[in-house]
Amino acid sequence: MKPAQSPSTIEAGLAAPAPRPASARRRLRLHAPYFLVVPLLAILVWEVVARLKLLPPLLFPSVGTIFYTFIDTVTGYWGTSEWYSGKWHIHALASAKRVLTGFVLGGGIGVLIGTVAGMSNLLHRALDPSLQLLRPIPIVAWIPLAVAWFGIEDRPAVFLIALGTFFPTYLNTRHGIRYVDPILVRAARMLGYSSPWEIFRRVVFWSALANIFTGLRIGLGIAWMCVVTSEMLAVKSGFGYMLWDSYNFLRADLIITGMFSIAVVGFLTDRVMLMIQRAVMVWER
Amino acid sequence: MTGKLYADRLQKTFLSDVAETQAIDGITLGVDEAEFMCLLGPSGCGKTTLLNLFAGFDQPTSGHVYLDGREIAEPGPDRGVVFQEHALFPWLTVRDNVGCGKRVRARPRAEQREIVHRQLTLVGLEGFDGHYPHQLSGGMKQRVAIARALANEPEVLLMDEPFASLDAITRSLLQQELIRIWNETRKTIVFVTHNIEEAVVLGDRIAIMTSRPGRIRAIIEVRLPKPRDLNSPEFNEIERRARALLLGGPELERRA
Repeated sequence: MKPAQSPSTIEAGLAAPAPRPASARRRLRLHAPYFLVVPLLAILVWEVVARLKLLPPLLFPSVGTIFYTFIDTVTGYWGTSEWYSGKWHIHALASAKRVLTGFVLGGGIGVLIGTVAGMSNLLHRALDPSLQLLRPIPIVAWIPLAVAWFGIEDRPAVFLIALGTFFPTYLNTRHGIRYVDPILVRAARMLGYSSPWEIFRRVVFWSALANIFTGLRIGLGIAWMCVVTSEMLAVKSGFGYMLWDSYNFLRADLIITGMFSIAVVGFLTDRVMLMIQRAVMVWER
Repeated sequence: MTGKLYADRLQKTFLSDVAETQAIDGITLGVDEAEFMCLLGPSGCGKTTLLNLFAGFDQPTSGHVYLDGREIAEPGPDRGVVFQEHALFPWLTVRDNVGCGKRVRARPRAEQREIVHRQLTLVGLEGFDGHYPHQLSGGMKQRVAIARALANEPEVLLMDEPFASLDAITRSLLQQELIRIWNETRKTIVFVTHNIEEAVVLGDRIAIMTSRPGRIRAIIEVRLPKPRDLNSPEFNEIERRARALLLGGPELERRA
Protein backbone atom coordinates (compact mmCIF):
# COMPACT_ATOMS: atom_id res chain seq x y z
CA MET A 1 0.00 0.00 0.00
CA LYS A 2 1.45 3.33 -0.99
CA PRO A 3 1.32 6.08 1.61
CA ALA A 4 -1.29 8.68 0.81
CA GLN A 5 0.17 11.46 -1.26
CA SER A 6 -0.38 14.39 0.98
CA PRO A 7 1.12 17.69 -0.10
CA SER A 8 -1.72 20.07 0.64
CA THR A 9 -2.63 22.73 -1.88
CA ILE A 10 -0.93 25.36 0.27
CA GLU A 11 2.35 23.50 0.28
CA ALA A 12 2.03 22.93 -3.41
CA GLY A 13 1.52 26.65 -3.90
CA LEU A 14 4.69 27.43 -1.99
CA ALA A 15 6.86 24.87 -3.74
CA ALA A 16 9.78 26.16 -5.76
CA PRO A 17 8.74 26.98 -9.32
CA ALA A 18 9.95 24.65 -12.05
CA PRO A 19 13.29 25.82 -13.48
CA ARG A 20 13.01 27.66 -16.76
CA PRO A 21 15.69 26.41 -19.13
CA ALA A 22 15.20 29.26 -21.60
CA SER A 23 15.52 32.02 -19.02
CA ALA A 24 18.93 33.27 -20.22
CA ARG A 25 17.72 33.50 -23.78
CA ARG A 26 14.59 35.25 -22.54
CA ARG A 27 16.60 37.81 -20.60
CA LEU A 28 18.65 38.53 -23.70
CA ARG A 29 15.46 38.99 -25.71
CA LEU A 30 14.23 41.53 -23.13
CA HIS A 31 17.43 43.51 -22.77
CA ALA A 32 19.00 43.33 -26.23
CA PRO A 33 19.99 46.78 -27.56
CA TYR A 34 17.06 47.06 -29.98
CA PHE A 35 17.63 50.79 -30.36
CA LEU A 36 20.73 50.02 -32.47
CA VAL A 37 18.79 48.16 -35.18
CA VAL A 38 17.43 51.20 -37.00
CA PRO A 39 20.67 53.26 -36.96
CA LEU A 40 22.72 50.27 -38.19
CA LEU A 41 20.26 49.63 -41.01
CA ALA A 42 20.27 53.33 -41.92
CA ILE A 43 24.09 53.39 -42.00
CA LEU A 44 24.09 50.30 -44.19
CA VAL A 45 21.60 51.76 -46.70
CA TRP A 46 23.46 55.07 -46.71
CA GLU A 47 26.77 53.39 -47.41
CA VAL A 48 25.30 51.36 -50.28
CA VAL A 49 23.83 54.48 -51.88
CA ALA A 50 27.09 56.37 -51.40
CA ARG A 51 29.09 53.59 -53.08
CA LEU A 52 26.71 53.51 -56.04
CA LYS A 53 28.02 57.05 -56.74
CA LEU A 54 24.64 58.35 -57.93
CA LEU A 55 25.83 61.72 -56.66
CA PRO A 56 29.42 63.02 -56.45
CA PRO A 57 31.05 62.02 -53.11
CA LEU A 58 31.29 65.69 -52.18
CA LEU A 59 27.49 65.85 -52.09
CA PHE A 60 26.81 62.32 -50.85
CA PRO A 61 29.83 61.30 -48.74
CA SER A 62 30.38 57.81 -47.40
CA VAL A 63 29.73 56.96 -43.77
CA GLY A 64 33.48 56.75 -43.20
CA THR A 65 34.10 60.27 -44.49
CA ILE A 66 31.37 61.70 -42.25
CA PHE A 67 32.76 59.79 -39.31
CA TYR A 68 36.32 61.11 -39.87
CA THR A 69 35.02 64.65 -40.36
CA PHE A 70 33.04 64.46 -37.16
CA ILE A 71 36.04 63.16 -35.22
CA ASP A 72 38.21 65.86 -36.81
CA THR A 73 35.88 68.68 -35.80
CA VAL A 74 36.04 67.39 -32.26
CA THR A 75 39.79 66.59 -32.06
CA GLY A 76 41.44 68.52 -34.91
CA TYR A 77 43.61 65.41 -35.52
CA TRP A 78 43.67 65.47 -39.35
CA GLY A 79 42.82 69.11 -39.94
CA THR A 80 40.49 68.15 -42.78
CA SER A 81 37.41 70.16 -41.83
CA GLU A 82 38.29 73.68 -43.00
CA TRP A 83 38.48 76.02 -40.02
CA TYR A 84 36.24 73.76 -37.98
CA SER A 85 39.01 71.27 -37.12
CA GLY A 86 39.07 70.85 -33.37
CA LYS A 87 36.56 73.66 -32.92
CA TRP A 88 33.51 71.49 -32.18
CA HIS A 89 33.35 72.46 -28.52
CA ILE A 90 33.41 76.19 -29.34
CA HIS A 91 30.40 75.88 -31.63
CA ALA A 92 28.63 73.51 -29.27
CA LEU A 93 29.02 75.99 -26.43
CA ALA A 94 27.94 78.93 -28.60
CA SER A 95 24.77 77.14 -29.71
CA ALA A 96 24.02 75.71 -26.28
CA LYS A 97 24.40 79.13 -24.69
CA ARG A 98 21.91 80.69 -27.12
CA VAL A 99 19.50 77.79 -26.90
CA LEU A 100 19.53 77.65 -23.11
CA THR A 101 19.23 81.43 -22.68
CA GLY A 102 16.32 81.55 -25.12
CA PHE A 103 14.79 78.46 -23.55
CA VAL A 104 14.95 79.87 -20.02
CA LEU A 105 13.45 83.19 -21.19
CA GLY A 106 10.71 81.75 -23.42
CA GLY A 107 9.99 78.81 -21.12
CA GLY A 108 9.83 81.01 -18.05
CA ILE A 109 7.46 83.49 -19.64
CA GLY A 110 5.44 80.59 -21.09
CA VAL A 111 5.00 78.96 -17.69
CA LEU A 112 4.14 82.31 -16.13
CA ILE A 113 1.53 83.38 -18.68
CA GLY A 114 0.20 79.82 -18.97
CA THR A 115 -0.32 79.74 -15.21
CA VAL A 116 -2.07 83.09 -15.16
CA ALA A 117 -4.33 82.14 -18.10
CA GLY A 118 -5.04 78.76 -16.47
CA MET A 119 -6.06 80.26 -13.15
CA SER A 120 -8.27 83.02 -14.55
CA ASN A 121 -10.78 82.44 -17.34
CA LEU A 122 -11.08 86.18 -17.74
CA LEU A 123 -7.36 86.62 -18.40
CA HIS A 124 -7.40 83.60 -20.68
CA ARG A 125 -10.13 85.16 -22.77
CA ALA A 126 -8.20 88.41 -22.88
CA LEU A 127 -4.80 86.93 -23.78
CA ASP A 128 -5.30 83.69 -25.66
CA PRO A 129 -6.78 84.92 -28.98
CA SER A 130 -3.87 87.31 -29.53
CA LEU A 131 -1.30 84.64 -28.71
CA GLN A 132 -3.00 82.12 -30.99
CA LEU A 133 -2.89 84.71 -33.77
CA LEU A 134 0.88 85.13 -33.38
CA ARG A 135 1.57 81.41 -33.04
CA PRO A 136 1.33 80.38 -36.72
CA ILE A 137 3.91 82.96 -37.80
CA PRO A 138 7.04 80.94 -38.72
CA ILE A 139 10.14 81.74 -36.71
CA VAL A 140 11.98 82.54 -39.97
CA ALA A 141 9.47 85.31 -40.60
CA TRP A 142 10.60 87.05 -37.42
CA ILE A 143 14.23 87.28 -38.58
CA PRO A 144 14.06 90.73 -40.19
CA LEU A 145 12.38 92.28 -37.17
CA ALA A 146 14.67 90.41 -34.77
CA VAL A 147 17.74 91.83 -36.51
CA ALA A 148 16.17 95.29 -36.82
CA TRP A 149 15.28 95.39 -33.15
CA PHE A 150 18.13 93.53 -31.54
CA GLY A 151 21.03 94.13 -33.92
CA ILE A 152 23.55 91.32 -34.47
CA GLU A 153 25.22 88.54 -32.48
CA ASP A 154 23.43 86.74 -29.67
CA ARG A 155 20.45 88.89 -28.87
CA PRO A 156 18.31 88.38 -32.01
CA ALA A 157 19.11 84.65 -31.91
CA VAL A 158 18.06 84.39 -28.28
CA PHE A 159 14.88 86.31 -29.12
CA LEU A 160 13.95 83.87 -31.91
CA ILE A 161 14.65 80.82 -29.75
CA ALA A 162 12.66 82.28 -26.85
CA LEU A 163 9.75 82.90 -29.20
CA GLY A 164 9.86 79.31 -30.42
CA THR A 165 10.01 77.97 -26.86
CA PHE A 166 7.24 80.17 -25.56
CA PHE A 167 4.21 78.79 -27.40
CA PRO A 168 4.35 75.08 -26.54
CA THR A 169 5.25 75.89 -22.93
CA TYR A 170 2.38 78.35 -22.66
CA LEU A 171 -0.18 75.96 -24.19
CA ASN A 172 0.77 72.95 -22.07
CA THR A 173 1.05 74.91 -18.84
CA ARG A 174 -2.32 76.53 -19.38
CA HIS A 175 -3.89 73.16 -20.07
CA GLY A 176 -2.40 71.54 -16.96
CA ILE A 177 -3.44 74.40 -14.70
CA ARG A 178 -6.94 74.72 -16.15
CA TYR A 179 -7.84 71.04 -16.13
CA VAL A 180 -6.75 70.09 -12.61
CA ASP A 181 -8.98 67.34 -11.20
CA PRO A 182 -11.84 69.26 -9.49
CA ILE A 183 -12.15 66.57 -6.80
CA LEU A 184 -8.62 67.42 -5.61
CA VAL A 185 -9.57 71.10 -5.38
CA ARG A 186 -12.63 70.10 -3.34
CA ALA A 187 -10.41 67.99 -1.08
CA ALA A 188 -8.16 71.00 -0.44
CA ARG A 189 -11.13 73.23 0.26
CA MET A 190 -12.67 70.85 2.78
CA LEU A 191 -9.27 70.65 4.48
CA GLY A 192 -9.46 74.38 5.11
CA TYR A 193 -7.69 75.96 2.14
CA SER A 194 -9.85 78.65 0.57
CA SER A 195 -7.82 81.40 -1.14
CA PRO A 196 -6.84 80.97 -4.81
CA TRP A 197 -3.17 81.21 -3.80
CA GLU A 198 -3.51 78.41 -1.22
CA ILE A 199 -5.36 76.22 -3.73
CA PHE A 200 -2.65 76.93 -6.31
CA ARG A 201 0.20 76.17 -3.94
CA ARG A 202 -1.37 73.02 -2.44
CA VAL A 203 -3.01 71.44 -5.48
CA VAL A 204 -3.01 73.15 -8.85
CA PHE A 205 0.75 73.60 -9.23
CA TRP A 206 1.58 70.01 -8.33
CA SER A 207 -1.08 68.44 -10.47
CA ALA A 208 -0.06 70.61 -13.45
CA LEU A 209 3.65 69.74 -13.12
CA ALA A 210 3.52 66.84 -15.59
CA ASN A 211 1.99 69.11 -18.24
CA ILE A 212 4.44 71.90 -17.46
CA PHE A 213 7.37 69.52 -17.97
CA THR A 214 5.85 68.23 -21.21
CA GLY A 215 5.57 71.83 -22.42
CA LEU A 216 9.16 72.55 -21.42
CA ARG A 217 10.45 69.43 -23.18
CA ILE A 218 8.61 70.27 -26.40
CA GLY A 219 9.85 73.84 -26.00
CA LEU A 220 13.44 72.70 -25.59
CA GLY A 221 13.16 70.60 -28.74
CA ILE A 222 11.80 73.55 -30.68
CA ALA A 223 14.56 75.73 -29.26
CA TRP A 224 17.13 73.43 -30.88
CA MET A 225 15.13 73.46 -34.09
CA CYS A 226 15.32 77.25 -34.04
CA VAL A 227 19.09 77.28 -33.66
CA VAL A 228 19.77 76.96 -37.40
CA THR A 229 17.21 79.64 -38.26
CA SER A 230 18.57 82.02 -35.68
CA GLU A 231 22.21 81.45 -36.63
CA MET A 232 21.49 82.00 -40.31
CA LEU A 233 22.69 85.56 -40.57
CA ALA A 234 23.24 87.27 -37.30
CA VAL A 235 26.13 85.30 -35.83
CA LYS A 236 29.47 83.72 -36.72
CA SER A 237 29.45 80.66 -34.45
CA GLY A 238 27.35 77.68 -33.48
CA PHE A 239 26.19 74.55 -35.29
CA GLY A 240 23.61 76.51 -37.27
CA TYR A 241 26.29 78.83 -38.59
CA MET A 242 28.57 75.85 -39.28
CA LEU A 243 25.82 74.29 -41.42
CA TRP A 244 25.24 77.32 -43.60
CA ASP A 245 28.93 78.07 -43.88
CA SER A 246 29.72 74.49 -44.99
CA TYR A 247 26.98 74.75 -47.59
CA ASN A 248 28.85 77.69 -49.09
CA PHE A 249 31.87 75.50 -49.86
CA LEU A 250 29.79 72.39 -50.62
CA ARG A 251 31.06 70.13 -47.87
CA ALA A 252 28.14 67.73 -47.32
CA ASP A 253 30.19 65.80 -44.74
CA LEU A 254 30.51 68.97 -42.67
CA ILE A 255 26.82 69.81 -43.09
CA ILE A 256 25.89 66.35 -41.86
CA THR A 257 28.36 66.68 -39.01
CA GLY A 258 26.57 69.90 -38.00
CA MET A 259 23.16 68.25 -38.22
CA PHE A 260 24.31 65.25 -36.26
CA SER A 261 25.87 67.49 -33.62
CA ILE A 262 22.58 69.35 -33.12
CA ALA A 263 20.83 65.99 -32.77
CA VAL A 264 23.31 64.70 -30.18
CA VAL A 265 23.41 67.85 -28.04
CA GLY A 266 19.62 68.31 -28.33
CA PHE A 267 19.09 64.71 -27.28
CA LEU A 268 21.43 65.13 -24.30
CA THR A 269 19.70 68.30 -23.07
CA ASP A 270 16.34 66.52 -23.35
CA ARG A 271 17.72 63.67 -21.22
CA VAL A 272 18.82 66.23 -18.64
CA MET A 273 15.29 67.71 -18.62
CA LEU A 274 13.89 64.22 -18.14
CA MET A 275 16.25 63.64 -15.22
CA ILE A 276 15.17 66.92 -13.63
CA GLN A 277 11.53 65.94 -14.10
CA ARG A 278 12.11 62.56 -12.47
CA ALA A 279 13.97 64.19 -9.59
CA VAL A 280 11.15 66.71 -9.01
CA MET A 281 8.20 64.38 -9.53
CA VAL A 282 9.43 61.69 -7.15
CA TRP A 283 5.92 60.34 -6.65
CA GLU A 284 5.81 59.09 -10.24
CA ARG A 285 7.53 55.76 -10.29
CA MET B 1 -34.26 73.58 14.27
CA THR B 2 -32.71 70.49 15.75
CA GLY B 3 -29.49 68.64 15.39
CA LYS B 4 -25.82 69.13 14.78
CA LEU B 5 -26.39 69.32 11.04
CA TYR B 6 -29.68 70.64 9.85
CA ALA B 7 -31.15 70.91 6.36
CA ASP B 8 -34.12 73.25 6.17
CA ARG B 9 -36.53 72.90 3.21
CA LEU B 10 -33.67 72.38 0.78
CA GLN B 11 -34.18 72.67 -2.93
CA LYS B 12 -31.54 72.31 -5.60
CA THR B 13 -32.11 72.79 -9.30
CA PHE B 14 -29.32 72.37 -11.82
CA LEU B 15 -29.54 74.55 -14.91
CA SER B 16 -27.95 73.61 -18.18
CA ASP B 17 -28.38 75.14 -21.61
CA VAL B 18 -31.06 72.68 -22.58
CA ALA B 19 -32.76 71.56 -19.42
CA GLU B 20 -33.55 72.22 -15.82
CA THR B 21 -33.06 69.30 -13.44
CA GLN B 22 -34.55 69.35 -10.02
CA ALA B 23 -32.07 67.29 -8.04
CA ILE B 24 -33.68 67.59 -4.61
CA ASP B 25 -36.99 69.07 -3.62
CA GLY B 26 -37.99 70.13 -0.16
CA ILE B 27 -35.65 68.13 2.07
CA THR B 28 -35.72 68.83 5.78
CA LEU B 29 -33.42 66.67 7.85
CA GLY B 30 -31.59 66.90 11.16
CA VAL B 31 -28.54 64.86 12.11
CA ASP B 32 -27.80 64.59 15.82
CA GLU B 33 -24.44 64.94 17.54
CA ALA B 34 -22.48 61.66 17.39
CA GLU B 35 -25.13 60.11 15.19
CA PHE B 36 -24.36 57.85 12.23
CA MET B 37 -26.84 58.88 9.54
CA CYS B 38 -27.08 56.97 6.27
CA LEU B 39 -28.58 58.48 3.14
CA LEU B 40 -29.85 55.55 1.11
CA GLY B 41 -31.25 55.79 -2.40
CA PRO B 42 -30.85 54.76 -6.03
CA SER B 43 -28.39 56.49 -8.35
CA GLY B 44 -29.57 59.93 -9.32
CA CYS B 45 -31.80 60.44 -6.29
CA GLY B 46 -29.88 63.52 -5.18
CA LYS B 47 -28.14 61.99 -2.17
CA THR B 48 -24.73 63.20 -3.33
CA THR B 49 -26.26 66.60 -4.08
CA LEU B 50 -27.51 66.72 -0.50
CA LEU B 51 -24.07 65.76 0.82
CA ASN B 52 -22.43 68.44 -1.37
CA LEU B 53 -24.79 71.02 0.14
CA PHE B 54 -23.73 69.91 3.63
CA ALA B 55 -20.09 70.11 2.54
CA GLY B 56 -20.61 73.57 1.03
CA PHE B 57 -19.39 72.54 -2.44
CA ASP B 58 -22.78 73.63 -3.82
CA GLN B 59 -25.32 76.27 -2.84
CA PRO B 60 -29.01 75.40 -2.47
CA THR B 61 -31.46 76.99 -4.90
CA SER B 62 -33.64 77.64 -1.88
CA GLY B 63 -33.56 76.63 1.76
CA HIS B 64 -30.68 76.60 4.22
CA VAL B 65 -28.09 74.25 5.71
CA TYR B 66 -26.81 74.70 9.24
CA LEU B 67 -23.94 73.31 11.29
CA ASP B 68 -24.37 73.99 15.02
CA GLY B 69 -26.91 76.66 14.12
CA ARG B 70 -24.53 78.54 11.81
CA GLU B 71 -25.46 78.64 8.15
CA ILE B 72 -23.14 76.77 5.79
CA ALA B 73 -21.96 78.90 2.89
CA GLU B 74 -18.72 77.29 1.70
CA PRO B 75 -16.48 74.29 2.34
CA GLY B 76 -14.58 74.38 5.60
CA PRO B 77 -12.37 72.30 7.88
CA ASP B 78 -15.30 71.75 10.28
CA ARG B 79 -16.75 69.29 7.75
CA GLY B 80 -14.37 66.53 6.70
CA VAL B 81 -15.26 64.80 3.44
CA VAL B 82 -14.36 61.30 2.24
CA PHE B 83 -14.99 61.05 -1.50
CA GLN B 84 -15.96 58.03 -3.55
CA GLU B 85 -12.63 58.17 -5.39
CA HIS B 86 -10.22 58.65 -2.47
CA ALA B 87 -9.10 62.09 -3.83
CA LEU B 88 -5.68 61.75 -2.17
CA PHE B 89 -2.93 64.05 -3.41
CA PRO B 90 -0.73 61.77 -5.56
CA TRP B 91 2.36 63.93 -4.98
CA LEU B 92 2.23 63.54 -1.19
CA THR B 93 3.22 60.48 0.82
CA VAL B 94 0.66 58.84 3.08
CA ARG B 95 2.18 60.75 6.00
CA ASP B 96 1.93 64.11 4.22
CA ASN B 97 -1.58 63.40 2.92
CA VAL B 98 -2.82 62.73 6.45
CA GLY B 99 -0.98 65.76 7.78
CA CYS B 100 -1.90 68.20 5.02
CA GLY B 101 -5.07 69.68 6.55
CA LYS B 102 -4.89 73.34 7.49
CA ARG B 103 -5.82 72.68 11.11
CA VAL B 104 -3.10 70.03 11.41
CA ARG B 105 -0.47 72.28 9.86
CA ALA B 106 -1.31 75.09 12.25
CA ARG B 107 0.17 72.99 15.08
CA PRO B 108 3.80 72.59 16.15
CA ARG B 109 5.82 70.01 14.21
CA ALA B 110 6.02 67.42 16.97
CA GLU B 111 2.29 67.56 17.50
CA GLN B 112 1.68 67.17 13.75
CA ARG B 113 3.75 63.99 13.73
CA GLU B 114 1.84 62.72 16.74
CA ILE B 115 -1.56 63.38 15.09
CA VAL B 116 -0.53 61.68 11.86
CA HIS B 117 0.76 58.67 13.77
CA ARG B 118 -2.43 58.43 15.83
CA GLN B 119 -4.70 58.62 12.79
CA LEU B 120 -2.69 56.09 10.81
CA THR B 121 -2.86 53.73 13.77
CA LEU B 122 -6.60 54.30 14.03
CA VAL B 123 -7.17 53.25 10.41
CA GLY B 124 -4.67 50.39 10.69
CA LEU B 125 -1.95 51.73 8.40
CA GLU B 126 1.07 52.03 10.71
CA GLY B 127 4.25 51.58 8.74
CA PHE B 128 2.88 52.92 5.45
CA ASP B 129 3.85 56.55 6.20
CA GLY B 130 6.37 56.80 3.37
CA HIS B 131 4.27 55.21 0.65
CA TYR B 132 2.73 57.20 -2.17
CA PRO B 133 -0.99 56.74 -2.93
CA HIS B 134 -0.35 54.85 -6.18
CA GLN B 135 1.52 52.21 -4.19
CA LEU B 136 -1.59 51.39 -2.13
CA SER B 137 -4.62 49.24 -2.85
CA GLY B 138 -8.09 50.79 -3.21
CA GLY B 139 -9.07 49.88 0.35
CA MET B 140 -5.85 51.30 1.79
CA LYS B 141 -6.35 54.55 -0.12
CA GLN B 142 -9.78 54.95 1.42
CA ARG B 143 -8.28 54.31 4.86
CA VAL B 144 -5.81 57.13 4.24
CA ALA B 145 -8.66 59.36 3.03
CA ILE B 146 -10.54 58.69 6.28
CA ALA B 147 -7.40 59.37 8.33
CA ARG B 148 -6.80 62.61 6.41
CA ALA B 149 -10.34 63.83 7.08
CA LEU B 150 -10.21 62.87 10.78
CA ALA B 151 -6.74 64.34 11.38
CA ASN B 152 -8.07 67.80 10.53
CA GLU B 153 -10.49 67.48 13.48
CA PRO B 154 -13.81 68.10 11.74
CA GLU B 155 -17.07 68.49 13.63
CA VAL B 156 -18.78 66.10 11.24
CA LEU B 157 -17.60 63.54 8.72
CA LEU B 158 -19.35 63.46 5.34
CA MET B 159 -18.82 60.26 3.35
CA ASP B 160 -19.93 59.98 -0.27
CA GLU B 161 -20.22 56.28 -1.19
CA PRO B 162 -16.65 55.81 0.06
CA PHE B 163 -16.67 52.02 -0.35
CA ALA B 164 -18.67 51.80 -3.60
CA SER B 165 -15.66 51.09 -5.82
CA LEU B 166 -14.15 48.45 -3.53
CA ASP B 167 -14.62 44.69 -3.82
CA ALA B 168 -17.21 43.06 -1.53
CA ILE B 169 -14.67 41.59 0.92
CA THR B 170 -12.70 44.81 1.34
CA ARG B 171 -15.94 46.71 1.65
CA SER B 172 -17.32 44.69 4.56
CA LEU B 173 -13.90 44.83 6.22
CA LEU B 174 -13.88 48.62 5.97
CA GLN B 175 -17.47 48.81 7.22
CA GLN B 176 -16.40 47.02 10.41
CA GLU B 177 -13.36 49.31 10.69
CA LEU B 178 -15.57 52.36 10.28
CA ILE B 179 -17.86 51.15 13.07
CA ARG B 180 -14.81 50.73 15.29
CA ILE B 181 -13.52 54.19 14.36
CA TRP B 182 -16.95 55.70 15.01
CA ASN B 183 -17.08 53.92 18.39
CA GLU B 184 -13.68 55.39 19.28
CA THR B 185 -14.24 58.93 18.02
CA ARG B 186 -18.05 59.37 18.24
CA LYS B 187 -18.00 61.69 15.26
CA THR B 188 -21.22 62.80 13.65
CA ILE B 189 -21.23 60.95 10.33
CA VAL B 190 -23.38 61.36 7.24
CA PHE B 191 -22.82 58.39 4.97
CA VAL B 192 -24.21 58.23 1.43
CA THR B 193 -24.78 54.78 -0.07
CA HIS B 194 -26.93 52.93 -2.59
CA ASN B 195 -26.25 49.62 -0.86
CA ILE B 196 -29.14 48.56 1.41
CA GLU B 197 -27.09 46.12 3.50
CA GLU B 198 -24.35 48.71 4.01
CA ALA B 199 -26.89 51.25 5.29
CA VAL B 200 -28.32 48.74 7.79
CA VAL B 201 -24.85 47.64 8.91
CA LEU B 202 -23.73 51.21 9.64
CA GLY B 203 -26.62 53.58 10.27
CA ASP B 204 -28.22 54.65 13.52
CA ARG B 205 -30.85 56.11 11.26
CA ILE B 206 -31.37 55.56 7.54
CA ALA B 207 -32.95 58.29 5.44
CA ILE B 208 -34.51 56.61 2.42
CA MET B 209 -34.61 58.82 -0.65
CA THR B 210 -36.70 58.71 -3.81
CA SER B 211 -35.65 59.84 -7.28
CA ARG B 212 -36.39 62.88 -9.43
CA PRO B 213 -36.95 65.03 -7.61
CA GLY B 214 -35.02 63.72 -4.61
CA ARG B 215 -37.14 63.59 -1.51
CA ILE B 216 -36.90 61.73 1.78
CA ARG B 217 -39.50 58.99 1.71
CA ALA B 218 -38.98 57.67 5.21
CA ILE B 219 -36.48 57.48 8.03
CA ILE B 220 -35.76 54.11 9.60
CA GLU B 221 -34.30 54.02 13.06
CA VAL B 222 -32.01 51.04 13.58
CA ARG B 223 -31.94 50.18 17.26
CA LEU B 224 -29.47 47.32 17.02
CA PRO B 225 -26.11 47.39 18.82
CA LYS B 226 -23.04 47.68 16.60
CA PRO B 227 -21.29 45.69 15.26
CA ARG B 228 -24.43 44.05 13.94
CA ASP B 229 -25.17 40.44 13.15
CA LEU B 230 -26.07 40.30 9.47
CA ASN B 231 -27.88 36.98 9.93
CA SER B 232 -30.12 37.95 12.81
CA PRO B 233 -33.87 38.10 12.11
CA GLU B 234 -33.99 41.72 13.33
CA PHE B 235 -31.32 42.73 10.83
CA ASN B 236 -33.12 40.99 8.00
CA GLU B 237 -36.41 42.54 8.99
CA ILE B 238 -34.93 46.06 8.81
CA GLU B 239 -33.22 45.27 5.51
CA ARG B 240 -36.54 43.98 4.13
CA ARG B 241 -38.36 47.13 5.24
CA ALA B 242 -35.68 49.37 3.72
CA ARG B 243 -35.87 47.45 0.44
CA ALA B 244 -39.65 47.68 0.40
CA LEU B 245 -39.51 51.44 0.95
CA LEU B 246 -36.83 51.88 -1.73
CA LEU B 247 -38.66 49.89 -4.37
CA GLY B 248 -41.95 51.58 -3.58
CA GLY B 249 -43.91 49.88 -0.81
CA PRO B 250 -47.32 49.39 -2.39
CA GLU B 251 -45.93 47.64 -5.46
CA LEU B 252 -44.06 45.14 -3.36
CA GLU B 253 -47.12 44.43 -1.28
CA ARG B 254 -49.15 43.79 -4.41
CA ARG B 255 -46.62 41.26 -5.59
CA ALA B 256 -46.44 39.53 -2.22
